[in-house]
Amino acid sequence: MNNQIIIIAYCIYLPVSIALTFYVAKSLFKNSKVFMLDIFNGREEIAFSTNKLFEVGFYLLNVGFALLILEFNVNLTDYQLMIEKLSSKIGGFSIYLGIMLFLNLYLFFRGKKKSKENRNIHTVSQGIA
Amino acid sequence: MFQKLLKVQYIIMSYNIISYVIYLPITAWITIYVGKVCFVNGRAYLNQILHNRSELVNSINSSLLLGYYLLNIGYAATMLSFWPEIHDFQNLILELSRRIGLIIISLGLMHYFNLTVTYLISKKINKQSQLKTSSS
Repeated sequence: MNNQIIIIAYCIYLPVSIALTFYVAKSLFKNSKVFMLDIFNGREEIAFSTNKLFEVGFYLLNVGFALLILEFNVNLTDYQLMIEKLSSKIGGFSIYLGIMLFLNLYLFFRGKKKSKENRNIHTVSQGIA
Repeated sequence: MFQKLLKVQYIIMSYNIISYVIYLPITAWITIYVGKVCFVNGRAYLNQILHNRSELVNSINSSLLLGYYLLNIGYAATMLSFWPEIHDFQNLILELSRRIGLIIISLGLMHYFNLTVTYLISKKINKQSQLKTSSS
């Protein structure tokens, strides 16, 4: 009985956390194409490949983390405890995903700012020349 | 349900062998998939760094891919020797997910390390080309 509750908890946790990661990555990297084009001055090849590389990195880190924290530290004895532990685990994981999302957004904004600075320097030096 | 299913399997093989059979294809698939993505998308970077010399780009790219495969599939296969004894279905899921997660997370960390290195190299090259244009 006890054994079965833990297996049910695993079977709920794994699909939910992996689907959440895929959903977040999809929506983040659909919208980041605009940033990438801006950062690389509209050079499409390198912009899209950078986007794809960041996407793969995001998947790897987050799916790996989701699988790594699978274990429940407490012995699950009844369904009430299972639901509580499961919800705290999935909640913690989605907070972690949110932090990763904002980290990636921060990277994109920083890249945008840096490329803007570079472009300004370039145009100024060209103007002087 | 599980018990009945696994009792049949228990005669044929132990839980450890079941976990190996699940673990090896999954890690191999993930490694090969990530390698392919990096191979296809890394070409743009190499083109930028090596100024579009396509012969050199191709040879460097494919030797990098080979090195990556050797390193990661070797790492995944060596993990098999540190596998604990598994006695039930619950431990099977736990150990599998832990090991696969460890592999995936180390792949991800290596991937970000590579991205940082390419970023630093391209920054250096940009600076050099800027110096050249400003001096000329």
